Amino acid sequence: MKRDVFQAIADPTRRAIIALIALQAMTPNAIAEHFDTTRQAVSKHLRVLAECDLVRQEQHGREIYYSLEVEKMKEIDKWLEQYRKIWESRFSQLDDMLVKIKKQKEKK
Amino acid sequence: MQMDFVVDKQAKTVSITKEFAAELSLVWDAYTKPEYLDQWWAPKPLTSRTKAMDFKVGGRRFYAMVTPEGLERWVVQKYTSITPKTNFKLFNAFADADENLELPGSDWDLNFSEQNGKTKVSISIYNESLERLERMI
Repeated sequence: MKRDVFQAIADPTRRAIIALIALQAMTPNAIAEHFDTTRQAVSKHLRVLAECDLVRQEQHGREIYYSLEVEKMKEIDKWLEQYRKIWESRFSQLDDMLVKIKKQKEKK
Repeated sequence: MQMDFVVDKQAKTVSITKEFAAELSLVWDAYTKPEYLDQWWAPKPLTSRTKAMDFKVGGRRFYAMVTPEGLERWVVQKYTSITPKTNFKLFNAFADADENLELPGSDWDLNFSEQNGKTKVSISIYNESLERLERMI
């Protein structure tokens, strides 16, 4: 791996690109339409993602289409999922507790 | 409300942000009072049992995550800085039942802010080694 994959997905724009191309293969131009940014900036982000094997490129005529390497994403997800899940259930329990306390206060 | 969860491997930091539908003073209490913490801190089916807690700089929370079978995993959180209802920092480490720390630990920075009756909490957790995250609860 030429580049740190966790650093690659830490960037919010790159995470948004991942979400987009997870749905369908897209050209850099088509991706750029979804963002308030230039095609050049999108290409740069795609290059970072490609360097850590998160995206696959396919040439169709004159256009290059980018799609997500789903297996690679799964590897990362598995690793992060454990920790993320702990915080998700923790916070949903806190949400519940806050609702309960607020209701009790209203009754008084 | 959705949680934002970002891992920055280079900075060895995990950042977690979440907005809660409650006023700041209540959310602050939920994070700083043992009777509240024990109600939400442990992800089910685990339970949280705080054995000792002294929320002041230099104080600590000594608690166990308890499995349904009754196995205990002890954790010590030492408070290193407190700005009431705004921020607190702690040093988090696993421990044995006698409070002997298992190092290295992690440094936590928790920020609280209120807007329109909702409270945003941003937590940043710095680890010397991110691989340790896999063992973290």
